[in-house]
Amino acid sequence: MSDVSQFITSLSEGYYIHQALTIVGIFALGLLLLRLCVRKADAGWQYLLAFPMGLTLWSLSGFLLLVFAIPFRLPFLLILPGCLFSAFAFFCKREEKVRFSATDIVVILAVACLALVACSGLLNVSITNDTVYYYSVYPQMITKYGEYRKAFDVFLTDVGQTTALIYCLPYFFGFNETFGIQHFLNFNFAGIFYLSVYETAAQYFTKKRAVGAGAVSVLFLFTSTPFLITAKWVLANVYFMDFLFILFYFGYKCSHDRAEFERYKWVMCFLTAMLSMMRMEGGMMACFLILCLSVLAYTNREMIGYFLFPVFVMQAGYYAMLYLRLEVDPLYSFLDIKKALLMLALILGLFFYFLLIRNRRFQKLLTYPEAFILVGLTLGNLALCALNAEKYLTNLVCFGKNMILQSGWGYFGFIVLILLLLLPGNTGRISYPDFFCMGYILLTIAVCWARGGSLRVGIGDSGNRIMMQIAPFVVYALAMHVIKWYSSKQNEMI
Amino acid sequence: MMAGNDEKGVAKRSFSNYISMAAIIILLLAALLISSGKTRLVFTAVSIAAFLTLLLREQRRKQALSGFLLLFLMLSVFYNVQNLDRINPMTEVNTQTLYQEEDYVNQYYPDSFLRLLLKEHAVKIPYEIKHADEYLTDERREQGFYARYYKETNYGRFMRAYAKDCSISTDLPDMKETDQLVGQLSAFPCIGRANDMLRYTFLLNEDNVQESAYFWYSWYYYSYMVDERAEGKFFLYVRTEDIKEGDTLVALWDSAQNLYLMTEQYYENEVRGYE
Repeated sequence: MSDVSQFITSLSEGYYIHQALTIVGIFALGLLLLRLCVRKADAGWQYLLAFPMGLTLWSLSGFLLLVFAIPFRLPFLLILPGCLFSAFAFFCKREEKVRFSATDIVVILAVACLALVACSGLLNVSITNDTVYYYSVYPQMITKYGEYRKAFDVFLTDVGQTTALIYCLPYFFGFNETFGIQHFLNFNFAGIFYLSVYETAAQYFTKKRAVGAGAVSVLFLFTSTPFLITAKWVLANVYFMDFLFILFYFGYKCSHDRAEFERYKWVMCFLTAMLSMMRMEGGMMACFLILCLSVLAYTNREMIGYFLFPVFVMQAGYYAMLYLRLEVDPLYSFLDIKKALLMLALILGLFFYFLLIRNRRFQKLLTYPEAFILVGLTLGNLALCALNAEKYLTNLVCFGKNMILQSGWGYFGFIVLILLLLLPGNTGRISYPDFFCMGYILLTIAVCWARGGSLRVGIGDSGNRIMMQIAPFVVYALAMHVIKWYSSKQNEMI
Repeated sequence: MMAGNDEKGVAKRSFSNYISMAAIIILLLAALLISSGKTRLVFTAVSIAAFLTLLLREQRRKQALSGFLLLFLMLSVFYNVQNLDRINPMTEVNTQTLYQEEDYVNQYYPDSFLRLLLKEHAVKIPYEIKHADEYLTDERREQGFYARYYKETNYGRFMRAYAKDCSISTDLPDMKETDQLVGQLSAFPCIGRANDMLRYTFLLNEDNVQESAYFWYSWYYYSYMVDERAEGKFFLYVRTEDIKEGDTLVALWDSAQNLYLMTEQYYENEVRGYE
């Protein structure tokens, strides 16, 4: 080891074990929350959702403390989850008591081993300016002062707050970076993606073939350039991508089975709240997710209560803190008061849609809500183009060039196109994964128009990074098409 | 794309097949026109293979698709993973910190190093961190931006925020006096540029004036100092070789906004006597 490395290592004594233990702690907290709020959950999903739920619990607790100007300190951070656990234990009618088994101990030991690997430095990462300032300096300042301050300026309007809170973990628990946490989440996501594909494939294939489909899909995703770039880049994108996929899949999974929805409704509620503040466009993306879920078999009450309401609480609470309490108003920022009001108007619009229209009026027009939503998004894009054609077309050209010149895309775009041209299309109604992917593309183009300046050609461009987040959704959609074609149930819609 | 196999679908299948073939031809032309080298070769070969696949019967097409999937998987595993560093520079992690050895070699993110170092050490600085009102009077504002406000206070803000302890020592040389010591102090190892570090010290500025906002900091440390002025780059020099646990450090900065960090002992023995 060189002198510099030795010197740095001498300054970072204990960091390795602290980060590994933090990962185990987050996992254990998440598992406890799942045991309290999910009844008779599938063991696989419980263990796979534990870490994301642990991160969610940490971030949401911190976010609420900061928004309500309660000191962002460890004692208070423990009180909130404590209250939540108590509430779930007391109010949720449970047929069985919360039990921990020998399997849990084995799993936690496995988690600890995996955490040690994740934190070891074996896997490389990508670090840029945004990593250092948005996701290291800024979280360190939140931790130091224990509150949101007006001086934080553009960091309050441009940075995903719940993601920034994940990056506060080092400063609470005695380490310096979150590479291990990110790599562990990647390992976790491999399991989540595998199980998602496996579960769907098992409806069409034998168990053995479904295992193969899951394994091949994970291998393809985890070696695809846009996913790898996103997964290794120390920013908010990987967290956003993973959490959005969990909601995309669970939203779909639980719509087919009432029992599944009853099990996972609180999981989806918390994850939606978390997602809405993971990036500054998170609120918009959460509303898009809600629109996508609205084509599935959920009641209006469920849509409002478990999906829309958490987004409203997060967004409205944050804007009130930002504009009424702190009176922040940077000269140039991603989020400004106009966009904040537009966001609230959108949430209100969705509320009235669920209250007055969905499943009540215009039934003939809304026979194919997917088509309606996609047409709406397309018209929205055309309207933005009409408002500022130069900016819109510049952005569109940048997206195209980034993909063709492989700015982080590799051969992914080309491979997807070829496969789409070789696979048979669905007859009739568009499938949920396809609809989601198309909507995501249209929304990303629109969101990037609204962010301020134009995009640029380059891997680090914000719009390009948001678009790269589509990788797991596209791979899942393609996997579903392939599975369907190879199965005997060709005419069934996925 | 292809449709189903029923009678009604036969004519439809031919039509959608033609659409797919046309799309592949367009893809092939685009690949030939836009790409080059190995990429062009891969795009061309795969497009032709896909075109030919569309001519096959359905069962054969499934087999061909399996071949494509295997090919794409191998491409992903053997090409994407190995070439990732070429597409987006990766950092090899050899310490348990955000600051890595290659950052030291390339002089990247020196403030990450400083934040790590200062956490364990008390620091003495020469300037009191005064409020903006003591610098930015109306008269001075009329004359343009008064850079002394940033020059005197921002390094101090950084030290106060990140050091174990930070105290003012008026015995220490101010910027003008430090200018006389530059020859000696710039022999310290240079760990990188300070522009970004100082640009983001707006986070630590509670003065609540327009000049304490990000916009002004960004303007001054980038647009003004880098684009408009030749002396826009300033550096951090840190003498780490004799820093031990518990040592108090001394931070000095010159008029050109270069920072020099050393142990108090070194300052007393080697620098102070030479002022």
